Amino acid sequence: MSERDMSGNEPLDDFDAEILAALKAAHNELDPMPAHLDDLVLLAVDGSIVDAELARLVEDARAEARSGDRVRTLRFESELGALFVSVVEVRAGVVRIDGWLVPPVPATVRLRSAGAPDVEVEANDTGRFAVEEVRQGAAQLVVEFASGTMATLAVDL
Amino acid sequence: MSGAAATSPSERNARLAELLDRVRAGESGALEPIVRELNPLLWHVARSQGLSAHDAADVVQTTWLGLVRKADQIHTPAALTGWLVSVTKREAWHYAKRAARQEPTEDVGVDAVAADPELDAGLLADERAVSLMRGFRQLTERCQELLKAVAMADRPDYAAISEALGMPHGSIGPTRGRCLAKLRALLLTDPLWSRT
Repeated sequence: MSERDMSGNEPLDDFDAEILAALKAAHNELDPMPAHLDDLVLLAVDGSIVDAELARLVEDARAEARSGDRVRTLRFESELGALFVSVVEVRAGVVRIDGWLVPPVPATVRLRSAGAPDVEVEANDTGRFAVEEVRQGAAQLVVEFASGTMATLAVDL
Repeated sequence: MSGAAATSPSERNARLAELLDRVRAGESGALEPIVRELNPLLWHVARSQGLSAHDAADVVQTTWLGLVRKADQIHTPAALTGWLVSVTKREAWHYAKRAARQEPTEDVGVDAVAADPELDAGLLADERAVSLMRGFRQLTERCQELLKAVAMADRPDYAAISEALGMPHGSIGPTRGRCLAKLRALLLTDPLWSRT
């Protein structure tokens, strides 16, 4: 083992493997990947609609409403339009979501969530819709406009 | 080398080829094992571009959605890891540019990756890990980015990852590489790591 060879052309040996394994462990400890990331990715890819416009999450804000409820507001944007969603916890583990589409048009909205059947609701002609009871966890919204389909990134509700 | 050689590259490529075929046939759920295997790597690649934890998670998700849409562009399974790493890095760069135009988000401070050996010492229980990170922080930023990504890969995929990160490796197979050679030399001067 030529310990001072810095060309790096030698094959990896056990000491290299030990260093890499320790680097992996240290980085996982210093900056762990969020535990739910696998679930979000799997939900998003499993139902992915190849020709859907991807709506990116551009805002995720939390505030306290006058009622004292904690409200979370999400804003998604795609080429087809924007989608605002407010999320309020109704009881432990269950949330209500209220959504509105910009521009305000009628559309069919499908809520996909991990481990539960899809829920389909209609947005009215002002672009508003609601789903009363949603179990917390990974979820994705798919919006069918007359002009095409938009699918949001999966988020943890 | 510890566990890393449990599957030979050819077995791994055969497994990836089968998964990719199923994804191309519309069975996107077939990706599950590979998502679980490669997510930590992609997450750390996104974080190395300076993104918040939140944005890094969105970038990783966007990358996988891109794969489902473009699975037919990946002609050889051996190219899959490299493709995912380069798309993650590019997408993260776009996010970082967009984030710079907007107000800083609340969580940036909390998320900022500890780059200070004092902080490492507070966060890492193991003295050897603290000493490893002390050496690691002395490397160039590019070496840190590359080594972190190589370490996150299940099998040291040095050549594919360095090329995907835009750092030509110029050799075939898992050779040590200059960055690892440098870190190794630093560690060999440290009593906690030196091997005699």
